[in-house]
Amino acid sequence: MKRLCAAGAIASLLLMLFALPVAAVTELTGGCAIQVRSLDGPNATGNEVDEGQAVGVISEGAVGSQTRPFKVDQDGSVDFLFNTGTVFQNNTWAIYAQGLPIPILSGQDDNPLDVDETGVVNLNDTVKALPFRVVGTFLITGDLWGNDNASHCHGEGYVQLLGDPIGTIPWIVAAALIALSGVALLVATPYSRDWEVDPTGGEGLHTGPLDRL
Amino acid sequence: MRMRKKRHPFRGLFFGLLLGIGLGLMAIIYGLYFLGPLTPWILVIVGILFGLLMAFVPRLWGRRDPRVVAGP
Repeated sequence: MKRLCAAGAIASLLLMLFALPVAAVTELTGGCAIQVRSLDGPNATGNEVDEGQAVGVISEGAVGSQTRPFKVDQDGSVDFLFNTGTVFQNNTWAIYAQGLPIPILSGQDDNPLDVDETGVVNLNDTVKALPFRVVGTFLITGDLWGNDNASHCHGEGYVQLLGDPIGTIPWIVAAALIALSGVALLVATPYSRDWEVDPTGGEGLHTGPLDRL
Repeated sequence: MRMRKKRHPFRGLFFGLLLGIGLGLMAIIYGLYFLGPLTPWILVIVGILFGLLMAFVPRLWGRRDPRVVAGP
């Protein structure tokens, strides 16, 4: 019965997990819009790697969606134009990766003059700050609050850092974890049958041992 | 003497967690978000569940046959 309950609980959990929505909505809401172009050189130089724009819901297959992430070069840069629609006074903004609550970038502007923000982000500077090379596809989310939190833009989309992942530290760590834990789960985790000394051993007759023995 | 089963649920939890972290990292590295943005986290949970499940699986080697009675 215990096994049945445990199996039922595990099966229910797995069913709940797989019942989660397969495709999440990537979007830029709140009347904001963004145009981006990534290049393989610093300071918006070099060849174009990718480009895209986002307003409202990003449909599947569009740049920034799950199946078509925005591609960026590790040594390159990203040229962006961000439009808020209305002036966001006393604004604060933050950008997060993978849904972790700690922002990777954040800032504020108490007195923005217009609704447009342009700039160039050199990825090389950011990547060099990391202790190891990172390759992969990341869910990037961002929020912009302004006008005493009356105005809010929220955006999320997928960004792919180009490169060969094999040999990078995260790849080696992941491969090692899968291999070692896989072996441990097969060898050390299954139960074994063993003989146990009866904890109540040594019992005798209630009236005492036989005299002849 | 009596026969008992030695289960290792904490080993299963620990190694399942490691397996899940490895799978989650691989999902990020290769962009495999087949279960949505929570895919890496879901894989961690699946790894833990798999590890706990393995504690209920009998070991296929090195087990003593409980029908064999130990000698004197």
